[in-house]
Amino acid sequence: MPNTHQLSSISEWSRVAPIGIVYFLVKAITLFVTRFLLYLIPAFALNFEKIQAHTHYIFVGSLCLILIFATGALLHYWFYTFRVSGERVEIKQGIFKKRFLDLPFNKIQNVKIEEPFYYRPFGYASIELESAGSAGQEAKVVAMKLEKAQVFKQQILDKRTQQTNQPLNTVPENRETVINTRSVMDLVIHGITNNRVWLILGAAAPFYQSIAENLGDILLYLGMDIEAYLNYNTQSLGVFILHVLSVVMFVMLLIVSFSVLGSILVFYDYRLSRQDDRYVKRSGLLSKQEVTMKKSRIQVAIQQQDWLDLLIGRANLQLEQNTTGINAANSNHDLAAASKLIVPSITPSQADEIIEEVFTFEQLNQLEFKKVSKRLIVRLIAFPVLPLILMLCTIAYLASVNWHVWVAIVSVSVLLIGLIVLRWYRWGYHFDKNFICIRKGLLGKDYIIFPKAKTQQVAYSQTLFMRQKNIASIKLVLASGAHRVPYIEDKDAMSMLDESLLIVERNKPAWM
Amino acid sequence: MTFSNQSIEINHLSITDIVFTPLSISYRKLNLWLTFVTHTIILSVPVFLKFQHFFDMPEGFHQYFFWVIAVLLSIAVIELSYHWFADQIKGYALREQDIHYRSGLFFRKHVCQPLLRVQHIEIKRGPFERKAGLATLQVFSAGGSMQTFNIPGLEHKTAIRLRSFILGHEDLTIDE
Repeated sequence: MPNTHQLSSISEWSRVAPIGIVYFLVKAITLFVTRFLLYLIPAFALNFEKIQAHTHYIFVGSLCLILIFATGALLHYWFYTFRVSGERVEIKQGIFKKRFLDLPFNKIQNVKIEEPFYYRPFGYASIELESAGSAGQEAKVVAMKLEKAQVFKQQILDKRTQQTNQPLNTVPENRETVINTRSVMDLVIHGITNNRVWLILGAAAPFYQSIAENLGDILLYLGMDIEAYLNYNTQSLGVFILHVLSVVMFVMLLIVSFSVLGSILVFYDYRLSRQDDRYVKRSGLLSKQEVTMKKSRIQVAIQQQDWLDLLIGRANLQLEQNTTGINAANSNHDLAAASKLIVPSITPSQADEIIEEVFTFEQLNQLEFKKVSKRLIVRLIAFPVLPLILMLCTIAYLASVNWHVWVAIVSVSVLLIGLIVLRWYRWGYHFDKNFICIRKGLLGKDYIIFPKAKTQQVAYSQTLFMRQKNIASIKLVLASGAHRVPYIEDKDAMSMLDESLLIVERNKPAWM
Repeated sequence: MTFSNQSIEINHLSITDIVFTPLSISYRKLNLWLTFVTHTIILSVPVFLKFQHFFDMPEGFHQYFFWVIAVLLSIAVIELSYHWFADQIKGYALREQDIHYRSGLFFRKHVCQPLLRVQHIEIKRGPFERKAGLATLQVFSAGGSMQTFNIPGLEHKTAIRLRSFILGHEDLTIDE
């Protein structure tokens, strides 16, 4: 190990680099703005006149706040010490509430290297260590030189590899093979087909109020009188509709451009590569991220296609691992979550290649999927569609509405039934000796592929009617979540469950 | 080591042929009692309001009193008969490699938990369960808390025996 001597310097309790103060400062300000300042905006808006009259108070107040934050950050930095001794990371932190974290290398599930934009000019990074079953607990070495962080990560990962008795390589960079990269064009497509607008909206949340209040003025300044433009009284219906449409188009265009911007922010310079038995994902425009995931820990591969993706022939691929310890509600929407590897807007054949690489699984488009029973349509119409329609009809009848409403009810019913048929049409399943593949969706189409060996638990359910027709529903639970297939042939359900149980119980494969 | 996965009664791998052990008889008794008591309390409210002389009830109340009682009573009867029939069907089975739970009168459900994937086990006992000498066995896997494998209505002794069998299983030590 040529690099270990570099790390021996942190075997004693030591502070992180002084740039860590910036980290604590940014964290404190973000917390203050999102948890506190946001709710005060209405109060500020109401008392705007008064505030204007006392600007010097505001100035002194802000100065005090900045001073408090700076002192807080300095203290946090001062009391934050860590050491790496033997095969464990220990972190001591907290000013008043002291916290001590002791994390052995072999309990570390993921290593995420983050380079926030304010670290990048100086070549620093923070390292987040995710352990199984430590929901909400932050194990983060907040600042370290990037090269050192890489060595540190390597050391943690190598320790884990050693434990499983695999040969140990020493040169970290050479053995890396790039599997996929994304160009800016791909990211633009991704931004258009996937609504990533919240990436921007989330950051702009503190300014909503003022944007909304001043929108009219801004547009007026740009030479567009929105009130006159949308005045129903002064123009004919046709022109009015045209104007409304153009406003809608304009808003859509704005949303899409924000979405594209968000997609580029997160996925810029996207690179997925393989390093021995693990995958490394790097991306980010301002703040860079590097997530490492061990191949054996991938539970499931999900290829997602929205209707827009279907039209232009793109797909998002998602590789998921254990999410038990991680706050599931958060990780679902967190593109940066280390429990998920997302490959944005690739072509289905590229997705096939990656799935093949991860699972040694045959090509998706050559699989023959079995359809689920048509009785699913009957069941979905019986509940919840029929009660809904009946309720609407009763209300309409009692209110003795005119024929327009009846036409609307009939069209809604037809639309709902159409959607149900489409839903049924999308459902499909395929299974072989080692893998189960599920196809589902509504307007879009998802493929879910997982090895039977990753099964945690299985369940089989059947109503009396289903039993008569030899139909059953199954559920297969993985460490990344449960997957259901409804209304399939009884014997297929049984063989999928039996074979999964057999593989798990006889071969005793590890799931981690 | 040769692989075997014998149920106590038969030697077959498919989950279709598992013979289930019914839950404790006290489980159904407890459920019936609890349902009976709950519904008696619920029913006693309108009955009390009807026959008390402390304050006047609106006219509509007296008009619909019969219907209210009829609806409440039928819910009670449905729930009681549900427990009467459904609780008999609930059962569990322990094989060498996995544990099973079956339930459902109209919606039959059969959950299988391989012992290899067990993370930890809890025995839960509420106040009524304690009184009746019952316990619920909860088996946790990495599938998350939504997917916890539950067997209710076990005699406390049985629950403890099941727990020690599962915890003593050879597979629980080989996972990472």
